[in-house]
Amino acid sequence: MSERGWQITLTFLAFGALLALPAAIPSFYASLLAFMFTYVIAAVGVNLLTGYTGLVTVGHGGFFAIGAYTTALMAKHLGTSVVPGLVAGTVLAGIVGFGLGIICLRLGGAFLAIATLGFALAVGAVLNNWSIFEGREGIQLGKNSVAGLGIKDVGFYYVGLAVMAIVMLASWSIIRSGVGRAFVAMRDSERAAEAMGINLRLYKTVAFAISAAMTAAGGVLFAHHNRYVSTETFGDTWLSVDFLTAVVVGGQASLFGSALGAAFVVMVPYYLGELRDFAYVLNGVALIAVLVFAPDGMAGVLARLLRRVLGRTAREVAPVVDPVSVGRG
Amino acid sequence: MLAQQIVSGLATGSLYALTAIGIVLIFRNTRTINLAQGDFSMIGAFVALVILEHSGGSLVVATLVTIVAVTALAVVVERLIMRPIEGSDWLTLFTATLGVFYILHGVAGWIWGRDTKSFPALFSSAPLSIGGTLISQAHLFNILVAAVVGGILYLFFRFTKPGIAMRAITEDPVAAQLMGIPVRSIVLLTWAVGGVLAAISGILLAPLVYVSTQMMDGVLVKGYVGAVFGGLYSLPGAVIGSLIIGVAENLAGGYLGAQYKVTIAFVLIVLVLALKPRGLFGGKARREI
Repeated sequence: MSERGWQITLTFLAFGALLALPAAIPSFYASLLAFMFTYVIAAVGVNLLTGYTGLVTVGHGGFFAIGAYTTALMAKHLGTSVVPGLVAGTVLAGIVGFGLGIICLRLGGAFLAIATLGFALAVGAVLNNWSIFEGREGIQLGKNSVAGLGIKDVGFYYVGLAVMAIVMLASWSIIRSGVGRAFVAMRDSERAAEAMGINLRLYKTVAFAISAAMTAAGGVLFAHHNRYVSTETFGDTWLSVDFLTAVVVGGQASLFGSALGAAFVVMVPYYLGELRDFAYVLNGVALIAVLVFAPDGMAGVLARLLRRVLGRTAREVAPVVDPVSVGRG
Repeated sequence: MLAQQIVSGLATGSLYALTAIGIVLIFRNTRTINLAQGDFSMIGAFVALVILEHSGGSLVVATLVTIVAVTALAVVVERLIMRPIEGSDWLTLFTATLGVFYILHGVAGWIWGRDTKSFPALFSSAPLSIGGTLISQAHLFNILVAAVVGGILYLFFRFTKPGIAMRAITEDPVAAQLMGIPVRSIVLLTWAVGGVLAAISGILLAPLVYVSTQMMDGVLVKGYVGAVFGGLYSLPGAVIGSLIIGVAENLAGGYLGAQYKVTIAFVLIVLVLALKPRGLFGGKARREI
């Protein structure tokens, strides 16, 4: 089987395992994993923009917040639940993302990072100061339901898994299409891409819009998972920083990397939580260790491992005598 | 009233400028956006507090020890963490400094706890009157220190060999190396200078905000905005950018309302970048990032 074949097989195996998992673990862990899925979804969105298109964003916490507050306000005033929130949240964030893309058209590198950071802080300021968003008081969401059926921890786990699968599949399809190749071409060289006839303005704003919509889908689920939103979570830039960290640690331009990175930023602080300040230190050390030992992210290390394993099985099937090693032996 | 707001804005801005200069110095020689710059100051403030308690309140001793300690910290960070990954893309370098940020936050919280501590005021609170405008002694002192630091840096970059070598590395690291400049030592020196600046700004800020692990978080972000305002490569640009941010903040806080004080800097930076994508003093486009 080719390397691509192995990747697809392993992906199906991983999702199969995730489908069966709630039967084997307490519902508390299903809830924790569902929480992690919201981060994975957001990281996939950030990776589309930062990893594939090369536009570094420190502002996607803002889109996450747009998703979360859209569904929270709809739940409060219209009594809706997960699915209408997902539709409205992603559409709204997509439109805002398109607008931010237009403002940031001519920016790159660290300048873009600061501008997107400014966007996230502006969203936080709006949430804090406009009374409709209830600031630190926050908004409570009712019990979750899908198509009128109430769902609990395990049910929500499956909703999260389904949305994560859809977002990953969407991202995968985009990357393999002409649009995705245009994104990668822009990342590698804007001038060359433009010379090949790629409309930079169009594709950059589209990349912003799609990536914002995906991240907002994570935000919608986050709000329903916690059944509470407030500026305690959404008022500052830590979400944005977490998503970017997930992408860098997991592996830029890798879907699997987004998942691994999101698991890193959720699980490491979670399990270190009781250590308080020492947790910060270990978290920092872990982060730096990954960057030093795996410069292309955790996904890069796994890909190399997979290649090595495959190489070994190939040799078992058809043993090749290496003349150099024979001579040494 | 207006003059009053502008003067205290300049005082705040000159503190942002110290952080912004540190950020620009390190960025333009290493492509590292150093998120730990604020934490260097924070550690410095804690060290100064400890020394003040143990040296019988001698400010000179505390300042000197703090500068040495924070400079050593910056050098250690460069050698242990940044140098092994010096060839990586800027996003990886940036994330590594986030790791340093976590570690320093954790270490400070671990040693000194999460409570905010007050730092003895350096000056009496009685304001001075200059041409009818009142200015607090601490504000005046901050402006003076920032001006002196700026002057020393100007002389350093204009007339000393290490300073000229630093500028050469900014222009073209490969050519600098070929000309016989010891790039690695100069980069280490750059981080050391960043540490000195951080120590000074930590001590100046400590009496204004309480000393705590989060004391620098806001200032750090404003420092960045100031640095980007000026184009990220220009030291005068960083100073002017920081002063503009400081004044704009104070004016917004005074005339529009306190809740606009926090956001005005970001509204300004998004506007400036939308019109001038490389900052106010960015000059020609550079390729490396």
